[in-house]
Parts: sequence; structure tokens; C-alpha cells
Amino acid sequence: MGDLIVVLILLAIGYGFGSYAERQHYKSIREREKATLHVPIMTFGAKQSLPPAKETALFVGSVVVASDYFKTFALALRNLVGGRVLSYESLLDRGRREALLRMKEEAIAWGATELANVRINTSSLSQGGQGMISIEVIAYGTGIR
Amino acid sequence: MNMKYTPKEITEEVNVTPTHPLVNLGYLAGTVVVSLVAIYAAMGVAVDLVVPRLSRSTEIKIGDSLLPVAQDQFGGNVLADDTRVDYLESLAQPLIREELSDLPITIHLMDTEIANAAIIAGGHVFVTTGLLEESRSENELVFILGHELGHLANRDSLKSLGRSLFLLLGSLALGIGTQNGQSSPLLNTTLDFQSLHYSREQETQADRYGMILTIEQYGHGGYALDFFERHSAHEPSFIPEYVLTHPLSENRIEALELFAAENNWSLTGDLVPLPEGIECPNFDCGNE
Repeated sequence: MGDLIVVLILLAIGYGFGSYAERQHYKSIREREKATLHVPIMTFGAKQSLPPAKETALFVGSVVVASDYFKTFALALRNLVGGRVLSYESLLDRGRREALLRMKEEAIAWGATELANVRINTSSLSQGGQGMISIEVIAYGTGIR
Repeated sequence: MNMKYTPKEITEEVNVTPTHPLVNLGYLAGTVVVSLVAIYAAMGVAVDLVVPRLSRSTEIKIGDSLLPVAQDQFGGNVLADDTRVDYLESLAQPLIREELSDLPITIHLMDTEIANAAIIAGGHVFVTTGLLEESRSENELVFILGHELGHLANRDSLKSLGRSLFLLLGSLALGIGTQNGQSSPLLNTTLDFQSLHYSREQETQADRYGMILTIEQYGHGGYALDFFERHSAHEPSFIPEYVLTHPLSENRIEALELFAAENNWSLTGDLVPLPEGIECPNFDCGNE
């Protein structure tokens, strides 16, 4: 019974703080996406000729996002029956968009007019696949000005 | 390459399912909990269906794998070479009826002061030296052995394993944790003598079985219940272990007396004395 109460408290903490952080993060992501919308990012550019450019440079944006107890609990339960892990969909979505934004913001500061050959990689920072999971997302691309 | 780029704000969230996480977890937890409860309940029901269908050889295998654990939990050494074991076996032998004829009955004499007798599946009967010391007549011992044989005949020991039975059957099938002579943690969790508890119905059946065997042996039930009467008189100041694993109240003695009366069995008769030196190893008390 005591264990159950501890789990419930951890779930409440995880959900409370986790969903608050997620709301704040999405708010910030949407604002910054709007502000950086004028610079196109695209995936082509590898083994293709780049658009006419005076200068190019590599830009890397990387972010580490931690899961929370609620998300991990939901994942553990989901592992029993299989299916979509809803709570991790938003976590990975935030990670990808944040990494892209960091790359883009740096490129814009440099004066990029567009970003070509953009790639995204994800890795999980977990302890042997056990316990709480953090994800790292890295986005990189070629800035052109 | 010349394309016109028109900035477009992202308004749709295709990568995130628009279901509230709490609702999702609610359904998920509900599904998992309901399934687990259903499986747990099904296993509980299945025990009573499976136990009568187990073959003798499976029962013996289960008993052999549980034997080391049971001996550990009983405490005290196993007195394998004691001649009192032969005596107990000679007492038990005539009590073995047809339904148990294909089960080898093995008596394990445990060197401990606590008066106790118990069985595990596979025909293993445990008797403690404490029980021998506290016994006053052969009639008592025969009834106690008969009662334990009743549990064996009804497979109460297998039933009392409950859901652990499936764990055991699984580990037997896979050959894990059941090596002879080793008590593995897995088996320790499946057998727990301290919390061993038969249902009232099971005890009543075993009591009646013991009574029938006693009547067959002596033609009367005299002195057979004395052990219990002495111990129930001692309650509650002294509650022996035997009473703990076999909760025996005045009611059970009364029920047995009624059972005997219904069958016109006499509860009076001659006392068959125990052999000299039953309380000493090899009947040798060394007072020659």
C-alpha cells in the first residue's frame, strides 16, 4: 500500500511538472517557429548542386529532453500490451522541433537565407534500456548566404 | 533551381496524437489491470480443475522438488537412520488405502521440539520428535498419521500451493530451479509452511479420513483424539505449532464425535501403548 502511494505521488509530480514544462515548451516553440518562418529549411542538397551562394557553413542544433515519471510509467504499461506511446510522441516532437529551431536560429544570426541538406538524428540516453529515459535530438544542415 | 518559397505557419500537429495523456493512461491502466485480474482469477479457478488431473508422476516430481525447501522450513535435522522412522512407517503402512497405493509414502522424522506433523505433495509425511514426545498412545499417532494421509489423498497440499502451482509446473517443464537437493529461491516462494493453511472443509475431510482409518485399524476411536483434547485444553496459554497449521477447535472434536456417532463407531476402547523410549533416538534412552 505504501509503495502504491509513493507511485501515485511520483505520478502526480511527474504529470504536474511534466505537462507544465511541455505546455511552456510548446508555447516557446510555436513563437520561435513563427519568428523564423522566413528562412526555408530543406532536406535536399546531398549529391545535388546547392542553390547559388556566396558562402556556406554547417549549423548544428542539439537538445536533450528528459522524460518524466508519468511518461515513463505510461511507457512501461504500454510495453505490456504494445501500441502507440502517446506520451512519448509529444516528447520526441518537442525534441525535433527544438533542435531544428536551435540550428535555424544560429544560422539566421549568421545571416543565412536558407538551410539545405538538413538532417535530424535521435538517440536515447538511457541506462541500459532501464528506468527513466532522456532523449537527445541533433539537427544539422548547411546554411547558405 | 528556382522555386518560390512561401512561408507557412505550422498549425496542425500531425506528429502528436490529440488524445489527453491522462485519458490515454486511464484506458491503458484499465486494460492492463482488468487483464491481470482476469488471469489471476482464472489461475485461482484453474488450480481446483488442474490438481485432480495431475498424474502421480507429476505429483511425485513436485514433491521431490519441494522436499529440501520443506525440510529447511521445518527446522531441525532429518533423522533418516533413526529406527523410530521404521516404527512410524510400520504404523503408516496398514493405513495406506487403495487410492494412495500408487504413491510411495515416505516418513521424514524431524528433530525439533515443536510438536508438528505435515505433508507435502508426493507422499512426504513429516513428523517431529516433539510430536512423538507429546504423544501418549499409538491411537493418537495413528489418528494423526491418518489425518495427514487424508490430506495426501485429497491432494490438499497441491491445492494449497494455489497459483504457485503453475509457477512450479512451469519450472518443472523448463527444468529451472528444481535441481534435486538444492533449495532454490524460486521454490522458497512457492512453499511457505508458516502460512500454510488448509480450509475448514479440507480439515474436516482429513479428520474424517483419519477417523475412518483409526476405526479400521482398532475397531474403535478410543484415545485417538486425546492429543487434540490435551492441546485444546491448553489453549490459549500454550498454542502448539500443530494447532497453528491445523487449527483445531472444540468444534472439530465435537464434529468428529458426531461423525463417529452417526456411523455407530465406538469412541471407547483399549489403549495401545507406545513402544518404550519413543522419545529417544533409536528408542535408546540409555537408562539401562
